[in-house]
Amino acid sequence: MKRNNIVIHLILAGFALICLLPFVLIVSTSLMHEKDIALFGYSFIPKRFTLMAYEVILKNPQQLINSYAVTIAVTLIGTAVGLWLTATIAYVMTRKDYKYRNKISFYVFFTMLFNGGLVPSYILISRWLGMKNTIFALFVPYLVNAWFVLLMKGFLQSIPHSLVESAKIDGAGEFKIFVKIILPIAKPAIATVGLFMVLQYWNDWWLSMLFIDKENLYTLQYLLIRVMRNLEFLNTEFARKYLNLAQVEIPTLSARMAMSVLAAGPMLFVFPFFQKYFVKGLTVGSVKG
Amino acid sequence: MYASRRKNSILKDFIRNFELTFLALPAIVFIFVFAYIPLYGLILPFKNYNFEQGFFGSPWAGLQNFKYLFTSDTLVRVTTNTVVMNALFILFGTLFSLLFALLIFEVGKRHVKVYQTAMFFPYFISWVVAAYVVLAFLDMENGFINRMLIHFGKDPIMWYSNPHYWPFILVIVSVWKSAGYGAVIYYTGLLGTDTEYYEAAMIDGATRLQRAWHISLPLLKPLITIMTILAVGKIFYGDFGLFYNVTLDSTQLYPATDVIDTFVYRTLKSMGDIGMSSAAGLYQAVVGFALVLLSNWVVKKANPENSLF
Amino acid sequence: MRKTSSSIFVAVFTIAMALSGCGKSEGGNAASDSASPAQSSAAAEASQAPNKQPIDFVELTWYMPPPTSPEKNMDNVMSEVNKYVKEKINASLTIKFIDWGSYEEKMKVMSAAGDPYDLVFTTNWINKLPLNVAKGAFVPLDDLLRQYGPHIMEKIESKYWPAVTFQGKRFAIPNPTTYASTSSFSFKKELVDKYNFDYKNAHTLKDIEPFLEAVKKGEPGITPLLAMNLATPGMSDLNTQRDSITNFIQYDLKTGEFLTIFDDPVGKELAKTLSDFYKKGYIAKDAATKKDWTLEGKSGKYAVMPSPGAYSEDGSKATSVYGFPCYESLYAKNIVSTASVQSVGTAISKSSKNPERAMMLLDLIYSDKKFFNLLAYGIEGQDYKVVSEQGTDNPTVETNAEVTWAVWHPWIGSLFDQWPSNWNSQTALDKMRRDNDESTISPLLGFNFDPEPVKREISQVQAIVDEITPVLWTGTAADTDKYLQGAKDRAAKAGLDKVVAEVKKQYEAWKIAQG
Repeated sequence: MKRNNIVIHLILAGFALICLLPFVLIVSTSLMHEKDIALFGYSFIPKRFTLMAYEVILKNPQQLINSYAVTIAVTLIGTAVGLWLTATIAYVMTRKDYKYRNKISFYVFFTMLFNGGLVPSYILISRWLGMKNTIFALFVPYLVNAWFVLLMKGFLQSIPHSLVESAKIDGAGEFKIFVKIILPIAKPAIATVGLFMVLQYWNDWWLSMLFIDKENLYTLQYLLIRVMRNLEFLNTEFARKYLNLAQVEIPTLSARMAMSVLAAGPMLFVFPFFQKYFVKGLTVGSVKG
Repeated sequence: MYASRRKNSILKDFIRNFELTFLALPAIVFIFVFAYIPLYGLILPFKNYNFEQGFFGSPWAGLQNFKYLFTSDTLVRVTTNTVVMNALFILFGTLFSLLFALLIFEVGKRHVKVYQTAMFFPYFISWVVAAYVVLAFLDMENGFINRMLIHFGKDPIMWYSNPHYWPFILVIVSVWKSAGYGAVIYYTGLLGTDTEYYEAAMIDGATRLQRAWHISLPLLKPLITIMTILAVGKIFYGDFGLFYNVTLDSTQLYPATDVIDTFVYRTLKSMGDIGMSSAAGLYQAVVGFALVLLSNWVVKKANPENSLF
Repeated sequence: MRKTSSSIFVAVFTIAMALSGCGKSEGGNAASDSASPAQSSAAAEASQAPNKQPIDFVELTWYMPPPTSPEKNMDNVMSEVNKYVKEKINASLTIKFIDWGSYEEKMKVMSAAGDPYDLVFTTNWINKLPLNVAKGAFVPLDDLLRQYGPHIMEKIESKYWPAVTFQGKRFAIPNPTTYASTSSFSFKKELVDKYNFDYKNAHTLKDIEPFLEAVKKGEPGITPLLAMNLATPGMSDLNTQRDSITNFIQYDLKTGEFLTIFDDPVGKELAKTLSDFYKKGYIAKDAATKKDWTLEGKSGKYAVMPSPGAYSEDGSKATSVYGFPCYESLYAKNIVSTASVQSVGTAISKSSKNPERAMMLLDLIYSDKKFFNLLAYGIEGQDYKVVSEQGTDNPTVETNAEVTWAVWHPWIGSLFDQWPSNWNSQTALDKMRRDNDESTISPLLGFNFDPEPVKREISQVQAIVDEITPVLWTGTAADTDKYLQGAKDRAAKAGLDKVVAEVKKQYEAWKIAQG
């Protein structure tokens, strides 16, 4: 038993280490001299340390702080509302006594593959709903995601139907059953999907790009991706031909990595928070008994 | 007579199910507004779209917008690459996700945090950053692997010019990036299962391997089935970030790494035609849809409980 | 299940139709409602009292990519600008800087969705003018120019207008700039001095070979030539004697023929030279997979690097791009073509509710040098200081060491209305103007190829071209002839001949129309 455990730990630790490589690489590159990167490539240990990249970014922290605030707000509201919507629709899909469960499953699944494309969604959100340049544009479009709903359904499926039945005999309404019985025992599922939603909102730049052209509503990732995408363009033949590159400020690779560190950093603390709810065993047995 | 009775029963059904429908109603309405109303965009592939006349006013184009896809000499190449690579990703991704989920489940709560946080990291970073990590290993001059090779007196390998290595590299990178995510999902699935089974098994003196094989896996079967069906639906979509960024878009690797999404991107980037790009999207969706219906039907035959709908 | 989905479809389509129907007519009405009174009132004003400002206050938005980022002094500059705009044309101006990577996509979506905006930066390389015109995103400018743009008409030479004219209508203002761009080899000064290379007389790839050879022999840590896809230096004839119709079809000024990249003798010769260089070890082994030429160049591990964008005799351009002392030698002087005139321009969106006022703003920029330079340089004392000629309409200025505000002059008006500065001295500006006048003008200036009839073929051939150029222009292919032939066969299957035929057909028709 003990020896088995050591083997398991070795395997897991080995893979965990490989997974941490990008983290080491990003941090180390952000501390590197720009010239060293071109000379020696991306390496896990910088040849010479410098904090210059961080100094440059943090010299004008106003935009960064602002974007942190926007991103945190969007992530919190989006995840909370999104989880409620996702959990309710996923739950009714798992109820074997619910007549329309297959129809609703299909209704949800269909949207995973088929969508009207960018322009119709844009017209809807920007022109019909008037969300352009408002904070709503940054979370409303992602509230219900077919994939998350079906994942949630997969988790909730294992909840025994007997639980619901006994509650019904006690005279509880569906709303009460959902809130008082289902939600508490579905904690791990909700924590997992919630975690994925947090990441989705935290990492999103697409909505900012499409719907926001006011700097005070930019999210963190958009600040970052804007720089990266600028750079990609500045390397094209057009930029060389038509732009005076000597006048264009090109952020160094270290600066980009430093931005990544600042943008990703908070997420390292979010994961353990959600893990609190990864509780084994639940209370299924006791409720049933 | 019959019709009215049927109507009656529909109404009865509706009333009987009303409470649950009402619970899910906000989400149903939301999906309708944000996913179904924009569906009128599905006519775009069949239109010669111009901004002035809009969706309904623009002239019809028949199947013209699909032609560039189906007359391309690369169609076979990109379709094969997409499907084969995705099949490998599904297979190995599921295997490793399950493996790690079961292992973490075994070692217990205390260590879960550390391992899961670490394993989740690759999923969290963007493909652009992931590409830098791969480059740190495979760079011709400064890459970790080539330095090792030179150190041991071997010739360095030009990784980004030789397509033969890439099916392996891509599978490794894909597993590395997504196994942690999958492991979290399956681990959560295991948490939702009933502990009584395990207690009973403990009493019976089952070994860990037996427990995993006879209890955990069967309990996870519905979840694995759903995940796989959903992944099959996306089998015609190449992960653009993986196939474009991680390969550095090296054209010499195209025989192994060119997929539908990179091909469409390359083909349309200069013309930027909305109709043509949405044609590619519709093609992918329709094929994926058919495959899901098929696999769902197969699953339903075997066990209706596990099917998606 | 089938029944459910079909009924869902029906419901969705009905609702979508209804919604989009309303939305559209509503939008259409709104646009015409607000446009027509504005039009009539503005027209009335123009005829009665041209100097009196329009009555109704309007807001104008102008979309462009960011010249530098971020624009720190934006709030102050814009409030100063807006005081002026309010006074002169009773309007306000908001400039939206959209990052380069998103710009094209964002403008496309906005135009497709009919989102209102007024002025927009358009070129033939980003937010492409011809495609926008083909999709109906811009308004024709002729009437507006006649009524509200006298200063623009005055400052843009008539020979350049055909480049932005489609089916007899002008769709953009081609802001005067340098039309004949130049390209140069960039040499690392240190190495040129060490090997005593006569760089001044090296104008072709063959000319620099002795230097590459010497570097290869004497400098083990240095790669002699930085070759990288289209950035590879030395493609001289391809620039000086050709007018590009598409990315793979060029018009040869000498012979008057259309050549494709697959059977262009000059290109083939160039590829062979590069292949020879590659085999001799002058080019990095993994050159075909490199992407970031500035990063590579800055590392200092190359002896000859790509053109810094334009030739400077003293090597200052290359020095500032690469960050260490460089020499330059000219290898190509481009011709003035449709593409080069379209290289920077301003258009008015079809979704604009106030096209008249937008044109008035542009005319203000062309007529008022002080306003124009405020918009471009920023505010005196905050973004720049006056060095000499204070108080005249052409003072010499110097911008802050750290750029706090900048919009490149040709992006909004005429480069030649720029106040001389540390960006361009008066001498430099005069020289650029002279260069424009003295450059070869393509006989095809004004010919705009319409890709619509062969867009499938063009897309497919383009995909093949993008696949081969990184290999071709780094000399990486084992056998250049075979490689090109293979690509040519594939292109032929994709319909290359059809594209060439279409180009010729449209060209003949255009020539007849020219008379």
